[in-house]
Amino acid sequence: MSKQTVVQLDRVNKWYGKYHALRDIDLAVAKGETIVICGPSGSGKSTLIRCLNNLEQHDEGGIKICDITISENVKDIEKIRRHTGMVFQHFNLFPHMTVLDNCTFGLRHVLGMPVSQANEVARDLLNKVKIGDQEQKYPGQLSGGQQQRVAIARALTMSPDIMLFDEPTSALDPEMISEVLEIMRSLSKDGMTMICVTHEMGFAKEFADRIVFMEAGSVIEISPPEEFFVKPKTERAKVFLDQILAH
Amino acid sequence: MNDLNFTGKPIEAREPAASQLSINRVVEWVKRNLFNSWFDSIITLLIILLLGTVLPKALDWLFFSATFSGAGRADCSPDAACWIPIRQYIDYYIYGPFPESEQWRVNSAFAVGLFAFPLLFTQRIPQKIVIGYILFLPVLLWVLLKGGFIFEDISTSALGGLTLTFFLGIIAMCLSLPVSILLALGRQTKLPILRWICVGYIELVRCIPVITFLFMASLVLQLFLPGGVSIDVLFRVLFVLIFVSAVYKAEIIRGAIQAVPKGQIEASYAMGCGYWKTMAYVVMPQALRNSVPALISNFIGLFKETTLVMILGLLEVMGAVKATFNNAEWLGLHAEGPIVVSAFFFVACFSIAQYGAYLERRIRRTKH
Repeated sequence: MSKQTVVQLDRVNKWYGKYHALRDIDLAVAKGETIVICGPSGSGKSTLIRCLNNLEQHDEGGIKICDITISENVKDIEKIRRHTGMVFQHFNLFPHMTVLDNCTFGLRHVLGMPVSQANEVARDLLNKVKIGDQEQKYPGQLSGGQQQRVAIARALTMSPDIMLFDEPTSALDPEMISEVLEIMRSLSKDGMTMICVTHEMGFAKEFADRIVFMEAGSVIEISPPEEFFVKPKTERAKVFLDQILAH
Repeated sequence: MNDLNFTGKPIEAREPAASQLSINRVVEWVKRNLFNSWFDSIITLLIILLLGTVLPKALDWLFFSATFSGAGRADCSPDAACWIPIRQYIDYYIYGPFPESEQWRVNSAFAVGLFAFPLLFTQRIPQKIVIGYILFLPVLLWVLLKGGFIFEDISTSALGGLTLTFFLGIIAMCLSLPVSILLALGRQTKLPILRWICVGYIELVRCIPVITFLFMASLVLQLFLPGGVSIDVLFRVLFVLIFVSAVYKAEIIRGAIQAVPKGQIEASYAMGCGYWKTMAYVVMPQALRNSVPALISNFIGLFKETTLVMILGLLEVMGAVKATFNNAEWLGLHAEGPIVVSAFFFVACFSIAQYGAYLERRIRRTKH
């Protein structure tokens, strides 16, 4: 591969008690790639993406993010988290802070940036996600789509090398999905390394470089979209696609 | 033709109609709220009857027939309140036996303590400064009232009355909250030994009456300390008040921490924030907001609990008032003292409650 590898998973395993949540996951993501992880619910997609910034701890194997290996070392984990931005299904904005304060949170408290400078960075990104006029509102006063756009801006303030999206549109009303996808599209176009767990197959078709199909904790198939959607390698992927594309 | 106003009714009819309307409104309100059913009507009548017999007597006893001025017991009217001793001893109730030449220190202590109130209400001053002030207040009060630093030392027995109540109440309130936050976090930590210590401490302390701790602090502790070492009784009492009430607050806060969605912590962690900063800026602000009603009740309870130190011979306001009524001249006046003390505590605690109500309104404004 000509491009630098920024995410490297090597035989990753994870158990919840006796339940084998992730089985021997191998995956390498190059800088600038957009990866879509899909699969039926309970297949381990979210667990996998949450292991990448150590919100969940894997039990076996190695995960390397931007040349830092995930270990027990708290400093390393905090470093990895600074290299990755995460967008959650339920936005997880801080309800007691204004939109602007949400976006300057990491800059102020993690990077120790002075408030005025942090505000500048945050305003710039809020304008990018087209929500600059709402900076003094509280998250509770915004629609779901707006909140998710703020959440994306908040993650971007830390200038991450990799963006992780954990079902970013699943909690949204249908009419708000497009405004969030639009932001994700432009990020992808700008060359951001993105790993997205999503059911938005339209987005996957158009923007994913590769699609990772998971079932029962294993990666079953990794293919570029043109291959995955036209003739999936496995029967299970075919069944999944039939179900999800049926409506 | 008559001029018409916007409702289409003749203007002349407007004046009487307006007053008629308000009377109707009152009648309607009374009907709906006081005489809605025969059961409601009976209750209403009973209450009116009760108030009609009790209230005039009470007001008469308290004010109209009461004696407000005079030289001694002889001037008191026999069947009404006698406020003469209250007026006579009011300085003692406020300052206790504090040396007169140093009373400006008490006044400044009241001033710096009460200054915290507007500070808590304003939103203009950065939170860090307000929190800093609140945490610094105990030191300030200790130095002003007890001495140390550049101030002359005051003996513990010279602290009494409102001064002592205020001293104990404010210091205990200011310091018990931070202690309780640490206890609540300790009870939830993943570090087993720390967690066991916190759980054990909380369970032990909340199952034993405060008053026994006060007794132990005053009497039993001396037995364990090496000879010659003695800790000031004020310090011991404060220690008990702080570390006992912190236990109840810790449980209130622990409940509120658990109510903060896990996603909040994850969002903070995902940005590279560590445990302490996540707790300080994400979890605690939300948990404390959610526990305002319960915490305010606890603060009020703690403030009133300061009266318990009376059993150790410390004359806080209740004890000071009681002492003056043990004076031979005023012996036998039972009601006046408690009424005055109640009035004081009501004003103080109601102010705390109002602060709680204000906080809740302020919090509601950020939610939708």
